[in-house]
Amino acid sequence: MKPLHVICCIAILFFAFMAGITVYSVNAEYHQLTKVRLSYAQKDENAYSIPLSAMYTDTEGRNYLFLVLEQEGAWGKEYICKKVLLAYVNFDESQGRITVKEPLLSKYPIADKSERDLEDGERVRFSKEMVAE
Amino acid sequence: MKKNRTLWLLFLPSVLGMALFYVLPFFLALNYSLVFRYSEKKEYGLFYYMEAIKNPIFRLGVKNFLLFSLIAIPAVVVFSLALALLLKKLRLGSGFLVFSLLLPFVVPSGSTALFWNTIFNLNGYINRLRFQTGLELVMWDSSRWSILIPVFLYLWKFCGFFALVFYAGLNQIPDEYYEIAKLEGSGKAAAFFQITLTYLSPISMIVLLLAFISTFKISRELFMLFGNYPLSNLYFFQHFLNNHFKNMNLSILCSASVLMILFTCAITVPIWFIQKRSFDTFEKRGEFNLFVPQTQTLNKIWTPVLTTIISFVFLLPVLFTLSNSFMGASEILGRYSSGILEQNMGDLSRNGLHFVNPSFIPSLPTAGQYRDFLLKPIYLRMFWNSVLLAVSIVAGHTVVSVTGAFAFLRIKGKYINAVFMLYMLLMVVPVQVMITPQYILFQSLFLENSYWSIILPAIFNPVGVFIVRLQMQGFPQECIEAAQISGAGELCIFRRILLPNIKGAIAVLVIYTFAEYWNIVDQAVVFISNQNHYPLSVFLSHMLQRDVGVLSAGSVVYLVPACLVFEICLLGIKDFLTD
Repeated sequence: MKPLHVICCIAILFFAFMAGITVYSVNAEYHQLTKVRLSYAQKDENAYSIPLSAMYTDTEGRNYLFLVLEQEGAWGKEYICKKVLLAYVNFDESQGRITVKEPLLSKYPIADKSERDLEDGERVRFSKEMVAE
Repeated sequence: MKKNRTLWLLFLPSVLGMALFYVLPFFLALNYSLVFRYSEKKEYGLFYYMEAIKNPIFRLGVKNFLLFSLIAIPAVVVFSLALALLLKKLRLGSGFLVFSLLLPFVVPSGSTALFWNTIFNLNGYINRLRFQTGLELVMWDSSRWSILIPVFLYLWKFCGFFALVFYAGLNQIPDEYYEIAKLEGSGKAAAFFQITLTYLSPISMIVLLLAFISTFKISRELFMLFGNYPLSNLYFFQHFLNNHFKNMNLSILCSASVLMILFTCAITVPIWFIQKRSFDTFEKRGEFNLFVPQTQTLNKIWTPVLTTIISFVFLLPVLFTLSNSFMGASEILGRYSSGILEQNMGDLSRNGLHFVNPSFIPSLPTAGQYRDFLLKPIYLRMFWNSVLLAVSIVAGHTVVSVTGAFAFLRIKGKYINAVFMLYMLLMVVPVQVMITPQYILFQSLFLENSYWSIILPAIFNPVGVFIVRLQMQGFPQECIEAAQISGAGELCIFRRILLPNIKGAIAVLVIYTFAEYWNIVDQAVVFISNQNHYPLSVFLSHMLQRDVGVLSAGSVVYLVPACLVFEICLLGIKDFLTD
């Protein structure tokens, strides 16, 4: 074998390795993300009705929820959750739903159930089965 | 007529591309700079030129740059000629030596930033040595000597490349000339001046031209080492352009660019006339090949020693990066930090200033930084962005240059020399200066945020035509004429006769283009706004502000394709020459 062929083989191996590691690391990063279930708010007169499970309360007693925003990532679309504090919350205990006034709910879906506690700005993933019923 | 049509078809892509991406932007910029926009009214005048010329910062930048060029260009010519003579004298030229001489040329600027910082910082190695020997420390930021920093960087980056070009030229001079001179009783000095320098003059012109173009490229390293606002001794006009670009001060940028283009043209025209005369004599001397490695060696003891020393000097920054990539984050912090930390308590320091403590062997070797680098999808995305850019540019540029150069060789006419002169002029105009005019063009084409705005000007860069034509001219014209008499068409001559014989030039062109665009920084920063679309070289150039260890590992990974392409081309040349 000529040295030229050896170097060409090394080059092919190198690029194959880079391609492999790219696929691996993109997948590995994706599988580390918190899984969330998406759900859409239902318009209810001049407020929105959302499932109770989507709302969280922090130690200071403030209510908030997470919207899911789409953005351009390194390898295609990425989804991040954005913390939104709720000013007005009306509980509807019987149906397990609450009514809130938050105009952004018309545009973005809510992160409903999640595997772990979410943080503001965290990247999330959702499987097709978990998209809102 | 048909013959001519083929030639023109080969000629058109190159010429149209050049007109569209180099000549047109110049006129757009000229127009832009002459219009004074003030509340709806348009007035033509030299207002912005006066503003640029009167601007003390612009003047400072130009002054510093000229000072740097005046030191760096003669220095690089002298050093590379000396190195070439040494190589010739000792008949060195093993593959490894050629590789290490050329490596600085392809190393991404970002990957060596830490090395130069380690040497030329207040707590750097030079100051460490001065402190150890009891001398005053050099305040690099304010010292007048700091102009030597870019000179050093420049010498390291280009000296090896030019030395090999000179070496190729030296090998063209027949040994008989020296023997005759000796017989006739001339001394060594006379032989050097009368034979070596005389017959080397065409090559010297090429080196001078390339050295001049390359001076502009050193600004990348300066940006990395000293940021956008260095102290007055190191403020080049490239900083001026860059900082005005951030404020989108296009009018003043255009006038500064036009001034710089006219200035470079004013320098090139005389060089062109001199080199034309020497080329005409040179062409008659037959074949010319860049890089002719000679393998037989004369002196058995000195050869390996000198080869090792020269290679080591040129490979030093790369070895440094390689060793850093295997250090842990804490070790790197301890070794290079200017403050005294827990990790470097015992090291040399003065009044709380810790001197760097570089080492080629990590105390706790780890591959963790490679893992951190390779498992970040964003870095890998940038890596593939670089691959996409480099591959498309190298492929496109090679095709356009080879066909263009062939057309230049074959089309005979009055105007063809004028067009080639235009190519030469535009070749010398530095990338940084062309960016603003090209930005205006791409803005009107709505392409300012896509890879096309980088790829298209790169493909039609006139430097390729210049390099390939140089080699084609050396090809014996009788062969072409003989083929023509036997009834070969232009395409046949191109494919069957010239193309197989200029593989060496194509390899040189590939190395040159790949090195240039694998290290792309300036154009990408200007034309691409989405960080996900940046090539990795842009990210590596921020090494000093980010995680040095991970980026060192990234640099090493990034260097691998460069070395591979480069080695493939060198071996290709060698195979081609021995066949």
